[in-house]
Amino acid sequence: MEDIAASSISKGCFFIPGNAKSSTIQASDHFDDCGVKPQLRWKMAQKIWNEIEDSISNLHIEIQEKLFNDLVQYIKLAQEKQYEKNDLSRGKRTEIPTAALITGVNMTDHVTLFSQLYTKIKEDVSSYVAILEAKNCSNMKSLMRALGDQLLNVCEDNEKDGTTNNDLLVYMKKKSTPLTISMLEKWYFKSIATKFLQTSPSKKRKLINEIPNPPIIVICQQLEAFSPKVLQEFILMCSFHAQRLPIVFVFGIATSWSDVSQRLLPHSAIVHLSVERFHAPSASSHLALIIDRILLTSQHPFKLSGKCFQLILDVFLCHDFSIANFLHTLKFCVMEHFYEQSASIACCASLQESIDMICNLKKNELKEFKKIESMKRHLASLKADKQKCIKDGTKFKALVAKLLEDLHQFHNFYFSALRSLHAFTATLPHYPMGKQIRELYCSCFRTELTKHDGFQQAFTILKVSSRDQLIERLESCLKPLQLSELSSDSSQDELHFSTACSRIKYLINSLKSIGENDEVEMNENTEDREEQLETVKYAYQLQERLRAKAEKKRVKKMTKYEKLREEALTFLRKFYEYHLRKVKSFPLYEVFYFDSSATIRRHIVAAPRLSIQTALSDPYQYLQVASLETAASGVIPSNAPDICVAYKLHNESGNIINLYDWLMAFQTVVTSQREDKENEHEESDDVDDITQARFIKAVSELQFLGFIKPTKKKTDHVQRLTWSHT
Amino acid sequence: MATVPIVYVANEDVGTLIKGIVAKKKRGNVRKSANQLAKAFAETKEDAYSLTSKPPKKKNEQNTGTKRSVQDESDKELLSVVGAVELFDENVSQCGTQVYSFKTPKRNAQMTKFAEESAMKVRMKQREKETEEECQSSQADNTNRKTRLREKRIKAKHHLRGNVHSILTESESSDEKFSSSDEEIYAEQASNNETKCNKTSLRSSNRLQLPTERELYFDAHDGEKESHSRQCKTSDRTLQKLKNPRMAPEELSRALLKHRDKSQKVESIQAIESAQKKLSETYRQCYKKWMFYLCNNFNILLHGLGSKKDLIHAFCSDKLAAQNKLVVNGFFPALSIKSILTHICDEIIKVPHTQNPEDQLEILQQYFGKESSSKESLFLVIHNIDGISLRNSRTQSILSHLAELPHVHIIASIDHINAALIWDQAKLSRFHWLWYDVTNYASYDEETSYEGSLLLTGAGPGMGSHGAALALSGLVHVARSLTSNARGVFRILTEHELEDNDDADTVKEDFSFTDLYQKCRELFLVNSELTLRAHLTEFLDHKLIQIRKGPDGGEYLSVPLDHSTLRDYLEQHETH
Repeated sequence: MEDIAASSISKGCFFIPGNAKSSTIQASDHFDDCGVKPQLRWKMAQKIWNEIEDSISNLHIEIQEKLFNDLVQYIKLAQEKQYEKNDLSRGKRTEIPTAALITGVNMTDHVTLFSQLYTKIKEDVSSYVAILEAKNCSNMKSLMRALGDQLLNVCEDNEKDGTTNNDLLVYMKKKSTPLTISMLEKWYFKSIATKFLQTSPSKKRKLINEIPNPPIIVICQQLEAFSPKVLQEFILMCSFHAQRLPIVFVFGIATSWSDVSQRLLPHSAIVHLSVERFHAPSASSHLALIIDRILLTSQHPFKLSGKCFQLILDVFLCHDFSIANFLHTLKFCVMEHFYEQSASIACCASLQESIDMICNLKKNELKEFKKIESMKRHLASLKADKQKCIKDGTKFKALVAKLLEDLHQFHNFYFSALRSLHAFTATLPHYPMGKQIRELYCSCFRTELTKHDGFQQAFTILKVSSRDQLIERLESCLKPLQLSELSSDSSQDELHFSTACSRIKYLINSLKSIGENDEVEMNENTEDREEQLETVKYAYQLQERLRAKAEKKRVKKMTKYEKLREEALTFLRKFYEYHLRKVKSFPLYEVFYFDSSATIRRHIVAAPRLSIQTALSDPYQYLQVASLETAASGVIPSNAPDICVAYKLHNESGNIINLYDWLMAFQTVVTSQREDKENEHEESDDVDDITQARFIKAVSELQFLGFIKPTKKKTDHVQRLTWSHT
Repeated sequence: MATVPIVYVANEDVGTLIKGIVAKKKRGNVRKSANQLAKAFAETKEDAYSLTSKPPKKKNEQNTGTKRSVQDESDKELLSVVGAVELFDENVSQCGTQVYSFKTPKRNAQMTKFAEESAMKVRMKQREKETEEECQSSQADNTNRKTRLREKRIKAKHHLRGNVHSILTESESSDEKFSSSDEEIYAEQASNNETKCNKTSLRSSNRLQLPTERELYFDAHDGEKESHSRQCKTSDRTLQKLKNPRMAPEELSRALLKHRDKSQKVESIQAIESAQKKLSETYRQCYKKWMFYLCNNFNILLHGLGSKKDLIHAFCSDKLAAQNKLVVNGFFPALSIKSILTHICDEIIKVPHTQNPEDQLEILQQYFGKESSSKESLFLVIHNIDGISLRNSRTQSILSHLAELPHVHIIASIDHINAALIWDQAKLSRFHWLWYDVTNYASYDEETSYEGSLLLTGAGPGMGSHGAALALSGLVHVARSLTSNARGVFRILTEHELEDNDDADTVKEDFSFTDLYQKCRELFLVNSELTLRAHLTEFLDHKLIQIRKGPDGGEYLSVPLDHSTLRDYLEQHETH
């Protein structure tokens, strides 16, 4: 019924009202209803996402706070300065104070940055603020209109009762009237006056002392997009009125100030500006902070696998540089994780919660845990008698709880150890372990540390480091460990954090206490010398023996420092190898890690053209019918969808295609299978209606998809639009 | 399946297993055991590859040479194993040349050649099967049939090729070579019934298909001039050669219906259709998830080959019955952003709409924005958000601002291969798309009906089959409101237009104004030039005639409508 309603030859839009009274929708209604406790999972997903979002927005505020404070401070000061100057040199033109806010290339996130700045200024400095966007300012008139509208609107609520300047205001508010700066000036002073009158006398005194006139702040978002001519005129115009109108500019600049001053603004405009530069945090450093403080911590139970992490990062670094998009993808990952993975029910921040959750599960819900890939592997590796135990519900519960505990334990130290290793190796030449901690995370996730090339390389380099360097590095790697040492319970394990910390401290101290050139320990090498070289049968035996001897000598020659260094390095090596084991080696790691990079690739960075062309050139990928298998290898099966046949044939042509020939070829393919059966049938060049109709359909579909278009170059030809000649 | 023993075998042992199958088959213990082993074989492979997560298909190809029948059976087994997901992943890593065919040197009639070769291969395969079956049956009869068929093919081929005006002799000679070896293949095949020979002939035809490296080099590197001349090196045949050069839309739909009926009996096409249905079924299972993400402020974008209209409609009636929704047909040529916004304003907010789309957007932003009190939400269902009328950046920017609002949800589809180009980063980040590949091979019936095709009768490009119907009804309406004299004037013009068309070769001359005036006077339709002009303005206003200045300064009139429409008009409406 809807189908009929929604197609017409005279209309393209159809409104279909909902038939229910209360049409509120809730995501929870549409959460997957199979698996373990879907509603609870949905709540957990929400909670976790909200937590992540909150901590990220806190970080945001923290980062921007300094910048905003600086800016506000500058605007306030500029105001005062200007007045001082004015008093000194009356009648002379003054410069307009300008804050050049260098934002870096990232258009999408800056809209929010500027709107935050707008509210901040409005609260702290003055209510006369306007944001100008290039699209509204194609000429002087529209620029003034946009500026005027915003200023008038801003102050409207202040003047609800004040009727003094109504006439002017009404006149200015008319869309058709061209605004001039002198009109604005008049209005500005009137509005200040009314405000002044309205305030109580005690406040008045205060106001006079503090800000004589609230400044008018004009924010130009993305200066490069403005037309230079309009900008120049605007600046010149403002400069004429600068002595009375307290205008302050804030320019959002994506490139650099020198670029703007050389390319965009002529000298005549720049002389009227007194510029101070401010730098917004760059998108990539911002992201690095987010990753460092929020994602690579044990604070949030949800984690991304190395591969997914890498993919999202690549999207960020190679596609858009947009934090907002990054967060959206992250949100998708969280939602997807809790939607698809029913074991995610145990994905809680603390161990106790996880175990409680497990205890409350029913038997058939527990079965879901057995389906997890890593769990299957783990169960298969168990011994036969243990495997029997698992059939028992409570024992299986205990096993799951134990495994989760292991994982929690592991996570408690994982990120600190990661940070420590990063600090330890970050200053090495050529960065064998990567410059950023995120690279280290990805590679640790991918490979076992012992097999990691960079790790081996790093330790080879460290083996020859000097004493000062080594001490410095050890100290730096100790810091992240000490931070988490407090939280962990004490244990006697050699590789445990607290023991490790004291061990490293001890090593540092002993390294400090010895001098670099301590004497070589005197050793009783006399006996060695006496040892005769036995007669050997083969040359290689001699060689071996000599080598062993040389080795012995080397070890003995080691200074005290070298020994200590060796000790420290072997210890640290063991320590890192223990704490940075491959996450995938843990059973049930899927509970916490979202590990489906294919899902992200499919839904976030999809390749629509690839899917269409694959479907056309190799239909077997989608339609698994045995006869279509040959399509990829140059044969066109006669039962392939018509559009595939037409597409395959069109691939063989140059940039224009004769429709008649195409039709003939189409017929040849389509009828190839029938021929044997119908070979009694008269074979002729005449095309039957059905084939022609199918061909027409296929061709118009190809046209719709954008592969061909009709051309007038030659009668009955179409032009090919992809991969053709010229 | 349940009875099949599952054996875990290491990779190295697979070879011995196959050998075992071969040996068994040789011994004559053919069908059953081979079948079982093939199953076991498939199982082991599945197991082995679940760890390395490579598609099991590749492994199969390695064994192609060794055993054919085993291969076929295990393939069938594997079909159930290979999921769409794995295939997709494989796709991504697939090298581009397999999907996108890059520019290859094209010769005259390459397409025909390709089609024939491919058809031949298909036929050969069939024959291969047949020969297996009919091996024991009368051989003489068989050979007879084959030779008869061969002669027919050759005749047809020569007929086809004879029409082609080959410009380069070189290409002609290669064609000759091709056809002669072609004959050889057929002769060989006809005389031999052994499959071995079939294989060699297949291989030889493969070799013929590829141009040599040298040819490729010269094709890629010869001068600008030549490549320019090659542009137009298609044959000169036109559709006029066909029995029915331009099909009417009704004929088309009739023929397609007939085709549908016919294909219901053909097994191979049925198999494909059931596979298509299966695809759609899998997509339908995602509905819940789509709804979930829509509620979470993501918007859904469907892509992939095939019309997504039915899929979206099913989604709407399944999940969105209770919601307010606006269905937008992006492929509709006369659509505008203003009409979309006006619809929303009229139907939901019920405010008198303002003129400017930007102002309307502002109203909507307030209504559906964060601060809005109403919890009412709107679902925008946009078929073909990449449609011609929605492509411009202003429209997309307004749509993206709508998409951003927390109470507006969009589910849209794209089809054009370059559709992704309509969004820049800023718009994309506002849309928050989640992409879903829903390739389903459904035919684009409604979407293409607005499109003009060279092969169809219609009222010119851009209007399509619907356009033709529209033009005719418009014509009738205009004519009805006019006096009989004015109709007479138009009739004269129309007849002139159709008359000229009969001999296609001569260049059509437009009717000059003075000639028309003369003719009209003769028929007592007008009495002065002024009245004639008054009649003509009526038609001009409705764009039913065109006037242009000729080289002599006089005015020339023509009717810009399609001839069949005019003919229909004359036949149906002028008579009574």
